[in-house]
Amino acid sequence: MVNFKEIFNNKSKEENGSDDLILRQYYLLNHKKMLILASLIIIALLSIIVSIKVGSYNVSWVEIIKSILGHGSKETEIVIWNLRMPRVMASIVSGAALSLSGLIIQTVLKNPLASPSTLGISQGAAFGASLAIITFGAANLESSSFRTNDSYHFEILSVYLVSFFAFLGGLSVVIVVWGLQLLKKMTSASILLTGVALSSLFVSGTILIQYFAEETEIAAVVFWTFGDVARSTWSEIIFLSIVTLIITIYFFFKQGTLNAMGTGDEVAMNLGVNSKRFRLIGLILASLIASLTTCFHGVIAFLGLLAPHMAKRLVGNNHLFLIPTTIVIGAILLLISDTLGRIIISAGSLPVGVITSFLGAPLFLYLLLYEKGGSKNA
Amino acid sequence: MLNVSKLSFGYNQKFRYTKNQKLILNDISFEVNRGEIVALLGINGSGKSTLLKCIANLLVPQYGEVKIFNKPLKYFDRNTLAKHICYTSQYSQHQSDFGFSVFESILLGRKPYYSFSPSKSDLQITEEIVKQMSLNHLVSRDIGELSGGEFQKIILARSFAKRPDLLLLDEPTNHLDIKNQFEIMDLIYQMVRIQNITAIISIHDINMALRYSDRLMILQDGKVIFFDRLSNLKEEILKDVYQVDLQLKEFNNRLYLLPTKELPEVRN
Repeated sequence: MVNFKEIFNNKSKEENGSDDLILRQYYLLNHKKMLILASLIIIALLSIIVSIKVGSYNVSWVEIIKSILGHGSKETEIVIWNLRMPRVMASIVSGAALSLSGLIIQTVLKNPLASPSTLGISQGAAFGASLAIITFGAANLESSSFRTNDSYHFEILSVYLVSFFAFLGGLSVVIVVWGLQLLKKMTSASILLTGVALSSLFVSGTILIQYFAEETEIAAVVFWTFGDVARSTWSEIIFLSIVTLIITIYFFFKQGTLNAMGTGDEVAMNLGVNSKRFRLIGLILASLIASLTTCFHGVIAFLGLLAPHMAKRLVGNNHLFLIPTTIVIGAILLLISDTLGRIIISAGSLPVGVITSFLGAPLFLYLLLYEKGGSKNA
Repeated sequence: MLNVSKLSFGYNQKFRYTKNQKLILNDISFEVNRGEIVALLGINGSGKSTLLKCIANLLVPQYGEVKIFNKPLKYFDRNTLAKHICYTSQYSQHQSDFGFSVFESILLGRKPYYSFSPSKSDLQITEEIVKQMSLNHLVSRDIGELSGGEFQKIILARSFAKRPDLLLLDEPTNHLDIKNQFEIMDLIYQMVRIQNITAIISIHDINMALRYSDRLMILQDGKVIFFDRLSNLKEEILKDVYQVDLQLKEFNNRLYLLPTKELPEVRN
């Protein structure tokens, strides 16, 4: 990226007077960003194929392509469409949803260290979902291993019920952060401390309600502590995909507003943006997709922090490119993490949340050390 | 063009023990015409920033009214107002300003004119501003890499890209060395004249104010105590406001302020 800039700068020094040069530089930079985005999409497609291949049941490359096109043998089609594909799709959608959520939260709060897991939104959602399962006894219907064809009708109902409670949990965190910001000027550090307080509150809450649960319900609840993309069914994945897609499109069309928000409240207001209202909308929608992801796949920590930062390094802060890049990177990261989890442990798999935490925690420390002005923009 | 009448403002002290409200701005009325540069002077805490924010509709005054083109601000919708008025605060670089190229950053000034992405004409206007302010060599740089002076120029360029009718600048030369101070003030002077817009500039350097403004406004304790052409400015007024011994001297037909205060005595 730096090299490109230097080349452009040298050029502009040589041809300073030329007329269309300024716009040409702008277009060149944009084309470069498009190129980065395109290569990321190719990487994503490749990781999808690799992720389908990797696993305890060996499937050859030819058979993978055959069964994707619908010409494979019965056995491999079952492995691919019922076991591997849901997992891959779940990783992609969850990765996209969490990273978009993280990006929006970082932009509207102007806080580079904010994300669904560092603010406690994921933990709040996990608490909400656990509460719903235990209060309404939805565990039998919710946990995939207990599903039967009879209970399909209830399953759909309980999916919405549990999602709704997860959303309430995530929303409560956002409302607290937003409310505190209205009452008091919050520094980046105090926003994060609020997150620490809220997430430990919700984690303890989740543990507390486990005492009132039956054994099968505990089994359903425990997995929320570490996210796993292998739990969801097609109907849940499709539901999550539709919601994520709609919210992505909304934010993509609001990219100008997001860019303005990034410059600070006064400048944003000066550019005709109602920053208080947009901050609330942004936080609610970001918490919605993060909560739904948590509801279906548990707490996947740090992904919402990791992906936006990698994307910012690659394409800068212009949300026109940042939103798609963040989403693609998030999807790739979660997909690779999940594939790694399957390789590391040959029997069964490591929950993907464990792997993202292992990757994310060092990055969080790195950002604290090297990111400029993390707490300066009070 | 700008019409301020009986403006009073005090910060709300809901969450404090004290109930009495101190007025930051007290019954301010004045009028500014199109194309004028007004320098806003006053000691720290005299209400300069608050006045600018009230005019920019960032703060809503308790009493009084601000009108532009004879229409009160509250009847404008947010976006239209953003096209008319540009307010630039005492700005310093911070973290979130990284990751935009200079061109993108200036282009952001066109935000009130587009909803999804900038149109061809937005790009052309931005390009024109870049040329007028001779920022060609910076356009592909990341604004996070700029020096303080360059950064301030980009912020100004963004303001002018908006093509506002009224420009409100809060200490644009803050923290800059004298070379950059002159460059910034020259740019403001040139661009305000080119675009034929009105500018109100809050500034601490009285010599800069004397040099670049058409009229001076002096605030003291939330009241306007002087608002007139430079020729009517008296030493006594400045002495009274700043509580410093000073003289106004004329040199090459231009007024200069000369602080004549002695050094303090040092006693052991």
